[in-house]
Amino acid sequence: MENNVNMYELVNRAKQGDAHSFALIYEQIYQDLYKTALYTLRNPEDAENVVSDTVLDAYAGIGGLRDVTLFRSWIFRILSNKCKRIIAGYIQERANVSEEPVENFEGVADGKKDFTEQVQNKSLIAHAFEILSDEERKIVTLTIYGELNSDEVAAEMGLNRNTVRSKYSRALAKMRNYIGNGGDMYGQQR
Amino acid sequence: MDNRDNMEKMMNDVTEKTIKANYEQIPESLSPENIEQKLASMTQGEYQSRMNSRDIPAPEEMAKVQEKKMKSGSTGGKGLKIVLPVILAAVFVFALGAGIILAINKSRERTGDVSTTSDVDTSSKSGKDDKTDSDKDKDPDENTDKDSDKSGDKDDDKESEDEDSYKQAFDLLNNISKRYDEYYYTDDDVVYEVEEAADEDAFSGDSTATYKADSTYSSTEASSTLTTGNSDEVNFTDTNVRTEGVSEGDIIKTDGKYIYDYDSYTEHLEIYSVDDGQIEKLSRVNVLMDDAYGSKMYIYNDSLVFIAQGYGEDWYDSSVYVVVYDISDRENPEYKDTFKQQGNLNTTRMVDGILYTFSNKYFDVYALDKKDYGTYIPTVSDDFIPASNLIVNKDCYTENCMVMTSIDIEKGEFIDEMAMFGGSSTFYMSTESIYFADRYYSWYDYSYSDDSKLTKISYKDGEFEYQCTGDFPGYLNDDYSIDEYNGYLRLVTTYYGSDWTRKNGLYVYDENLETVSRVLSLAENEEIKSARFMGDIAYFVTFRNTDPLFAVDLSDPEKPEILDYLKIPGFSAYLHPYGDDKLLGIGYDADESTGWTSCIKLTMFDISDPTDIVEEDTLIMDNFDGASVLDNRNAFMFNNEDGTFGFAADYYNYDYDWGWEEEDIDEEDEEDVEDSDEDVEVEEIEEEDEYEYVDGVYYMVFDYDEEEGFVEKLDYQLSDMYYDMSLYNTRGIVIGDYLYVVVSGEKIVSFDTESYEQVDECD
Repeated sequence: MENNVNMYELVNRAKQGDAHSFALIYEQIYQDLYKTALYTLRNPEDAENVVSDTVLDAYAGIGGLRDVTLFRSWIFRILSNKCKRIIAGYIQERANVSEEPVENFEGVADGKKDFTEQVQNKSLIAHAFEILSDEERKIVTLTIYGELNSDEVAAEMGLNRNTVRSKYSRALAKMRNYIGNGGDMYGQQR
Repeated sequence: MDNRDNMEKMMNDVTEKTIKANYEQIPESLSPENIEQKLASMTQGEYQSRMNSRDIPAPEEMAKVQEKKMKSGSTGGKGLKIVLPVILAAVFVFALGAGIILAINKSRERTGDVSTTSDVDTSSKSGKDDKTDSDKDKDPDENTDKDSDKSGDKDDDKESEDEDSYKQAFDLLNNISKRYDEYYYTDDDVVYEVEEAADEDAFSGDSTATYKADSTYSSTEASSTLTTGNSDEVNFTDTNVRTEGVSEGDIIKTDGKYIYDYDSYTEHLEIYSVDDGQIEKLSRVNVLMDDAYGSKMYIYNDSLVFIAQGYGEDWYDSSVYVVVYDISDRENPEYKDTFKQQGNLNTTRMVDGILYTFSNKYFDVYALDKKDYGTYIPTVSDDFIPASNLIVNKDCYTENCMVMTSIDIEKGEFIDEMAMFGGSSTFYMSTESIYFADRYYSWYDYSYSDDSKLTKISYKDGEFEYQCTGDFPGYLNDDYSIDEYNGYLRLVTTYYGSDWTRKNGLYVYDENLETVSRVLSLAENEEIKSARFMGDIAYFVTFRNTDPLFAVDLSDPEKPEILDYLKIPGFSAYLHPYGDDKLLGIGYDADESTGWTSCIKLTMFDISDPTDIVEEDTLIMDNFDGASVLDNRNAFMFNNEDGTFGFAADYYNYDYDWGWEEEDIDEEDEEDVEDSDEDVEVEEIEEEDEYEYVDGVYYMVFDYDEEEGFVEKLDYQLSDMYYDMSLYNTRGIVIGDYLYVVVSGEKIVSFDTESYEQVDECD
């Protein structure tokens, strides 16, 4: 987003249905989209799918976006909505299989085929996200990667703005403590 | 105060940038090229249906956001505009030390005398030089005889024997710096470098397990032991700790006659005398230090011990200070001593008037200079730790050196010191020993293994002595997952099985950390959320969508037996013994429709018959979504005289319709409870007493009654701000028949524990 004017121009063109312009915008934000999805869902495969799904929806629906300056906030909210439903799906799936033997439980959140490979490469930051609650994860990813302000996060999550701020601050402190201790969980509470 | 705010802001900025810049491998299918292809090949039907996707925010919704933006004058976003190359560069810098990158520029000569005799125990894991490392490190327990043989063979080794642990420390950090360097190479180069490094260093920790397992959950740090101290006159509740007899520091302390409060905001110590609910402030002492801020304190007889984290010239080049005040005159505390050791405060403990301080010293692997010990050896009182007291775990991957000291508080002197590379995963201190659990690291394939290494160090009368190591698969949830009892060490662990599913296990070790018995493959695909060992029985909670509480009988250490398990919704993050036959669980209720862990939940288990655990009562604290005890066990108050317990909790009404049309949301907060359209969910606690909460932080006290279940005794509002600091800074203390609610730096309010009527208040 170094050049917002250029970005808005691209969004305008994308609104006319120009796939290439849309891809250029996408190029500027896809890493943030992916990280948001990955840290929110904690499952690389689902993150991949949800980003792809989000982008296609956004491309088709961009005509409905009136204010081009809100593009980033808008697309992250699409992503967030999708993640929300996926997480609800996890929960539902868990509920459905709860009485089943544990053997049938794989693939719910993290039992994917390539999980082993992914977990190997899991970054310290990814680990740090795991110490957060689902809600905190969402606030942090939307704020940092989505670059949404507290009002926008609040709107997306149905929370109060001040709640979002304090939760965000608290989550960052948790992560900082975790990262600062090199992944140490019982670190000091200053 | 401004400084503190700025500091907070600065730290937040650094954390944000670190998180923002973190690099993740993006799947190929998401590359802009591939996406463009997908966009272009979308069918008209798909296009139409996606255009109406329910996940796209409605235009009206976006318009409201836009309105808000205009009002607040915000330009939107966090303004984190970092150019990608800079991000990539930063990623690696932050990658592992993650912000704890030390810049030690001071060139130091080695000072002080370093012991010339090699400590047998600590050098037992020594690799002598690069050529023998690979052999040596495959067996960390290799005994010392072989060691001395090997060092005898090396005539050309210029380092004297006593410096071996120094050399190991250097080699360890040097290897880590090489590891970082490899991130910068292209794919081809990486392959080459990895092979070369593997040949060269071959620190193979455990090459069979090659993946990095899940990290532990943080919110469950809490848990505790019944500790009710005794003074001459009255019973009082002491700080809730992990192990009875091993004190832990806190911001608020009592000795039964006085209450000591460290006000971290203004950096003052405050001493109050308390008597039958009457409170009097005796003194207020400025403890502000130029280059350090306080954290916790201890009271030992007439000494007040104050732990402070120094930040030095460079934020990361920090030291921990232990400051002792003589408080024989409570009205005029006098400064006595200061002790200093390098690193970031990890934790402290006190046993029989001896303070044990643990700090993490991080080294900048890029600033390594073999001749400059300051770049890889930590100091205590500005002297380097002697080589004989330095342990290097080569099969751990860490730039973190755990510095341990013991201080006799009354004599005012250091007793002993020790340092160990590693030890940063889980720390547990029993009345006899200190245990560190660390993830093994394989230098061969550069990954954490799923196995953890236990290091046992005894600390009798303040003298540290390295004992032995052991290992177990997986990782510990927190220090409640590990417990020493009757000479046996027991632990519950979450690990990955060979089929990559998460499992849980229980291990019993003898005093040499040899495995006596184990139970494996418990609760597949779940992870341990909390644990509590009560004598011969281990209780632990694993979580999937319900919360199975396991009871395991360990009375025969060689034959552990699973007695029972009970499933309930949500999970308990903190377990506390309640009398002899009950177990209190504090945790979260999980909302199944959204997936958020929604509100705080109290559960009482009847464990009078461990083979038949019964959920006796559960109280859902609707709209209370945070509790101090879940972040910090020290914040939990338990009075074993009458079975009451307390903690701070914050209330926020989620059902509030926070209307976009309104000018100012903040004002609305206060009145939201009444305006709420759907107050169905607030019911449960309202049934108890017709009280409607307004948002904010409350100090809650509960009792438990066989007949009535949980009974709310007190809901004292500490703040009308949700997530106020009072959530963290408040402690309840019972002395005799009175409860004192201490809000650090603000006030103390006393209540009669019969009626819970307020008796006194003192600022």
